[in-house]
Amino acid sequence: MEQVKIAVFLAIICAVFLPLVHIIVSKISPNSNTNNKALIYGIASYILIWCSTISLYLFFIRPQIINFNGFISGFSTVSFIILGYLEFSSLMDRGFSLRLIIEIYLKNKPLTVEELTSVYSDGKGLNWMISKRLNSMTKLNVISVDNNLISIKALGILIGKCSLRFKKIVKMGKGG
Amino acid sequence: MFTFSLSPLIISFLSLICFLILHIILWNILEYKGYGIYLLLLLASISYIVTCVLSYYICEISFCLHFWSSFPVYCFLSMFYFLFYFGMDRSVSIRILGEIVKSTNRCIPKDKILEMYSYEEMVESRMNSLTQANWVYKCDNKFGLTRKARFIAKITLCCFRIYNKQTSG
Repeated sequence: MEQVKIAVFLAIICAVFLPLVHIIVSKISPNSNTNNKALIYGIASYILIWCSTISLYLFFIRPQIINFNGFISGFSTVSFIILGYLEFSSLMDRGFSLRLIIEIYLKNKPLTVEELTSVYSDGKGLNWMISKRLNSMTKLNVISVDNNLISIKALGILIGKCSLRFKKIVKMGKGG
Repeated sequence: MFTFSLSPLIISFLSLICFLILHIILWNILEYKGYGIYLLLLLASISYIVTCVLSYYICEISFCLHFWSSFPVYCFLSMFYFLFYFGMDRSVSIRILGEIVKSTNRCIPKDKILEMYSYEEMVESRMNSLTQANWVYKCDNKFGLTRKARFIAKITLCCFRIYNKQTSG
């Protein structure tokens, strides 16, 4: 039981390295591609540091019986924190609602739907947002864009169908 | 020498199944889902507690023995599902994929996406959700920020500076 608690606590304590490495690498090379790499470095360093602290603990304490549940709990905690951080990072990078809130904040006055559509993301507009989403999906091999025609690939069909089925099951509506 | 107990993992997975069943049943009954995240958190907590109580009375597994093993695993599984759920609910990309899949040739011109999913519809539906959740207020067809939204906007801009983000959205 002690090993399980220690694995979980170490996962929580080592979590500080995730944003730290992310921020340091982002500051060193300010670039949107590097920002994604910085995130990956942050995640990798967090996992490595946690594994190292667990190894050091096992090396110095040398328990007679090693509880494997400790590793599972610790790794689940690490994964939980990583998923939470990925969501935070994704929200900052691509959050649509958050960006709308920021636009109203920056203009410092209430805005209509039409005004929001045109000022979105420092004046780039929603056309830019859709193009950005389509570019991301093209890079992920989900769709292909050829002469303004969007074709969906096998992976895109799978994701699209799963999303429609899921929305039907939980009565979500169209979403988006 | 290694030791491993399966019961905490079973409790975690059973809690998740209980949560998913409650979630699907409730979401089919409820009309309004604006408080989705709070309701989902409540359902997740109730599912875990109910499973722990049942495991104690049926299988005599003490809460103290499995909590540190089952709770982190359950948190991870729930978080994974929450990300999946809100991805499906809020993602513009997923919505676009769904629209393309529904189209006859699974191949559409870029302008057609805007007919299916117009900019005004995108913004209006989000602003209405934000109004219902009390982030934004509506007055004379214009949307303004509540105090908590202004606070979040400040924090986010601060994070942009810390993370060296040039743009977002």
